[in-house]
Amino acid sequence: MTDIATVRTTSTSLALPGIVLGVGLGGFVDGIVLHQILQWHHMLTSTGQDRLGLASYPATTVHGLEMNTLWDGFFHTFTWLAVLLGLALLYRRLSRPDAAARPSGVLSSRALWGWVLCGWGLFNLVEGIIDHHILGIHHVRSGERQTLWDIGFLVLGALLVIGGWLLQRSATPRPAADASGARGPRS
Amino acid sequence: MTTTPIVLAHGTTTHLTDVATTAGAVVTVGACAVYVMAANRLRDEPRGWSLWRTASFVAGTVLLVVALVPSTSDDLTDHMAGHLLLGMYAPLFLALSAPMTLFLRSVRPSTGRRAMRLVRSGPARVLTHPVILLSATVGGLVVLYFTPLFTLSETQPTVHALVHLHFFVSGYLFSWMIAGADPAPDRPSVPARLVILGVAILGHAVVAQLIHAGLFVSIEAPAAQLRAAGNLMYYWGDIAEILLALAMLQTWRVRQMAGRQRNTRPGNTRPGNTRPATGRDEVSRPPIERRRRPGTPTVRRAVRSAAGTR
Repeated sequence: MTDIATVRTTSTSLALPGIVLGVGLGGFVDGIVLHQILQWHHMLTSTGQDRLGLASYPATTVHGLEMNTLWDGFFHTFTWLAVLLGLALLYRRLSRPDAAARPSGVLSSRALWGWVLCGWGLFNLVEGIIDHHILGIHHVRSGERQTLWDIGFLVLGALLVIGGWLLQRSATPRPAADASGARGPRS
Repeated sequence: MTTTPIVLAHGTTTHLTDVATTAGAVVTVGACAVYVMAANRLRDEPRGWSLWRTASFVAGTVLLVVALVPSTSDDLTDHMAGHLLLGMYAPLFLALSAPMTLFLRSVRPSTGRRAMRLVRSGPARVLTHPVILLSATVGGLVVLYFTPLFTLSETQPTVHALVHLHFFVSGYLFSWMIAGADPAPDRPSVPARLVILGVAILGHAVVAQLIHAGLFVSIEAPAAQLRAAGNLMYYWGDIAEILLALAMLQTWRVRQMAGRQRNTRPGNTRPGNTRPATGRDEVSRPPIERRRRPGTPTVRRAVRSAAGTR
């Protein structure tokens, strides 16, 4: 019983670092895949039809592209800060005297990656609701079906949160781990 | 890898570039053969040698050779892909393969001590100071792309070779300082390394954006190529830096271990050790320095508390 309690504490203690790291890495998936490679949207590509009443900054004019690049840069900074902050938090958690996870083994920890997936999903949900739905400054893929794309983005976010949650819950000790206390519980 | 990056041959291929390319490839492949042989010998020892490390070295070698294959293409994006492999991806894999540790475990103790004296010497410490390494990697990019050096390296094969040597060496030392599996005498703390990495990322992204926009650069290339090359540098650079940051997770307790080196000599396998150090066990598990002993105080405390509950 105590072992399971220990594992639960470990899993919870990785929640904040994992989520922050996940928000950052999720931002990179968006930034690299959607902004850079597919070029489906940039930060301000639907301005002009947004709900803030901003001027239009299409990616097809030089000035529009400049503004989009600038705001993509802010987004990029945000995602990097989240990744670095997540790693710093993780290091602090693992340096605590009561940390049960081996610091070097954390890369293969289900708890950490479960929380990272949760963070990625949260990124999709928050970014989707604020930027696509409330502000409307860009959509996943502008066009007739943009609402469908935006909803798909939210569904993906929800699935990631659920999947991540289940994954971190599954981080229980295996029978084998009990036999060798030195290795500690699988966390 | 479908792109064939250029190393020594932008434009015309001369006899000299052929020689330099072949020599580079031979040295790289030779180093790989030596590494694999040494690692194989250690696998017979009780402590063994992680297959992951060997795989990492082989991967680094493959990336280097790909980057060293000369191409007749004049496209700036090919050139950029080569630089990414040479300065970021290959160094990361090589730094994770712990070549110095392998060397120290393979040679006689006296040779090892002499090598360590060299690593710990004043000039080596100055050369591998985080600020120096940071200026070497980011500063190197600034000097290459924003001064006539780039044009010069296009026409002078020797300059070009030196530029690439600089990319590789500074990239390797930077990766080693941030996330290398080998011990480092003055490795900064983890929070400090995160800040250093942040500064490097910022510098890299700004240079990539300026190339993308064609601002301040002194490269003779069409705007479309500049945009594509800047783009490639921006996001492939990000991916390399994310991998480097995650690699840090894997190796970030090595520093504390370095102080305990005295107890880790080969042959010091205590029978009462809670973890059997069989070569077979080694295979699936990352670096031995960490797992052979219940190492850090944290782990020992965990062991004690786990024992207490039963």
